[in-house]
Amino acid sequence: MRLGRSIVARATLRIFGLSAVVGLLVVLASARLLEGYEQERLVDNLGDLISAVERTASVAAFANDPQLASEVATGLIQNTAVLSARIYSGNALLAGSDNGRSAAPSASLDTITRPLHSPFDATETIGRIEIEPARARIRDEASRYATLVGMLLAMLVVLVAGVVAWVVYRSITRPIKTVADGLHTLDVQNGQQLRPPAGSEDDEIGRLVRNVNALVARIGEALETERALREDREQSERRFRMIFENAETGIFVVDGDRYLQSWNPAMVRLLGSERFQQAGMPPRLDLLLGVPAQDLEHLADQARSQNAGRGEDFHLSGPDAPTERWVHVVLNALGDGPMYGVANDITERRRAIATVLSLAERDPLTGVFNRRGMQRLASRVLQSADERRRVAVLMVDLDGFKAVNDSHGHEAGDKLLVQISQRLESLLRKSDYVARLGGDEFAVILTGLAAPEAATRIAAKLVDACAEAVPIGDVVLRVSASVGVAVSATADDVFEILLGQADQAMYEAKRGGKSAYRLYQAA
Amino acid sequence: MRRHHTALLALAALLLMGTSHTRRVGDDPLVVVVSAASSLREMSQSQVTNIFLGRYKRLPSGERAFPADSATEKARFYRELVGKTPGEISAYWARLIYSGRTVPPEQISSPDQVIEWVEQTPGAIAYVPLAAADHRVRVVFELGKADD
Repeated sequence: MRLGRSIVARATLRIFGLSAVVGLLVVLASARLLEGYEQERLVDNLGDLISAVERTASVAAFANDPQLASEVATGLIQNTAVLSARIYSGNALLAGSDNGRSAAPSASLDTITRPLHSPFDATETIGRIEIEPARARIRDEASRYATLVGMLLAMLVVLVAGVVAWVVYRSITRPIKTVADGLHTLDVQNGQQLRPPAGSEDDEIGRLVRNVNALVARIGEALETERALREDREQSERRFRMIFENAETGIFVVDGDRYLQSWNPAMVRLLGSERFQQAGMPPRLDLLLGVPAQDLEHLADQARSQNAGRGEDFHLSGPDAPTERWVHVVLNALGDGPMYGVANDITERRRAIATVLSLAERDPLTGVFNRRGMQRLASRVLQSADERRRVAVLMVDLDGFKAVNDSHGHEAGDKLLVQISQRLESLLRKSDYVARLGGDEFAVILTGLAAPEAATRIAAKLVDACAEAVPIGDVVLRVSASVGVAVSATADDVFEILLGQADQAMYEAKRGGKSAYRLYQAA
Repeated sequence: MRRHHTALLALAALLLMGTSHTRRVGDDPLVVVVSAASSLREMSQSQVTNIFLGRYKRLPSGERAFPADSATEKARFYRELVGKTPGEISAYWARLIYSGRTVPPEQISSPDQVIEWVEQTPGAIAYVPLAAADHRVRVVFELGKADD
């Protein structure tokens, strides 16, 4: 610390400096004043001196006695302040004495003259007494006196300054320095407290220290609170970060331009790191999902306008997709711009649903469509039916199946039904469908037929195929089929009606002798 | 002859008393006298003072002055002349005797002897009560007169 910046050094220097200046002024002024006073006093003393010898001098002057006058004059010059003394009787010099120290002129401006009166008549002036003051001597003495007093004053000033400096140092500057030093090294965080300097416990410095301590305590508490809050926040941040990092669900934040701002590892696992590499950095969500940007925008707009999470299933497509993947994405608005979202792999669920759905449309025994599946498929294919792409519904009913069931058992009957259905399927194109409507009743839908004859041709083949022997284990069973055919050349036709027509034609075939087919002819 | 003078002087004194407010009836004023043979006729109070207190060494007539004190009248004389007590007068002389240049008046015990001494000594000057002054001496100053 520089000397000039220390309060102790500065206060002490200032006290001494000011004292020196003031003291010097006081000493100089008082010395001048004293010198003048002292000179006057010494000259006044000469008057007193004259008064002391005045009577004798009067006698000498009265009696014209030079001897006595000389005694008086000699007595007068014994005083060092007197240069010469003369006694006149009338105007005649009666006696004069000179101390010889200087050849003073007989009468100067300084000369002190006192008239001498008759001892017997105070009104009668009989002479005078003259004294020549030793001016130089008086000045010297006055100067010496003034110097002595000045030195005493200077010593006093130095002493007082010293005492003041000491008192100020002891009671003000040193305690303040102690406090300042203590404050400088104070460990606020550990709740350390300042101790008031000794002797200053109850004064302003003590109060300052107490206030500082109170302040420090408050700061310490505030720091502690803040630290605790920060820890809490960090902890919860860590928790959330852990949830975010370890979640099995893809979590992401996407900005208004569909760029991902952050995402968790599950998101990468979900979509595959290759997709992320190809979607750029930062990755764009539509590229990641491989869906048109407007699909995503539509979902985002919905979420924003309803201020709620909106989800949609996206079918991940792309050349690198190894298998079919489905992802469910839910978007939530975060104010105006960015959105957060979660993404889940729903491929398995999708697959399960698809499986369930397909099972519902199948006949559990034979694996061909059931009535429900038949209806759905028929409705679909009928929609695109016209003259060149006719749709035919064939009703196939087995002849003699009840007998097989009765003689060989249900198990053999079931096996027979499986064999028959496989035989039917093997005869059909990929665009045709087989369904088991129940019992020994099958339906076949033929699509894209150029003419009704194509349907009857296939019907004939089916009849032939069913008539062939069916080996079940070591038994060979025989059945036959009666087939009714109904053909539609328009999308306006309804499947149930066509099926009814085919059913009607099938009964005609049964009545005609079985193992045959009939084309429905409108009455 | 003497008696006659005395009567005259007494008459004169009575006459003087009539004109003086400061003197009580029956007082005998002191007078300064010189030898009847002296040419001196009259003196002022200051002349008397200067001679008796040693300032003037000579009479106004030019003779050397020989003043004399009367032991019996001394106190009254100086009181009336300069307003000083005998002690003060002694102190005054003590200063001068030291130098030796100025000597105090001769001391004479009685007025008769004073008269005799004045008659016999040229330049002598002294004082006596008025009643004691006779033809041998001449009154040149009467004390108290100047007060009027």
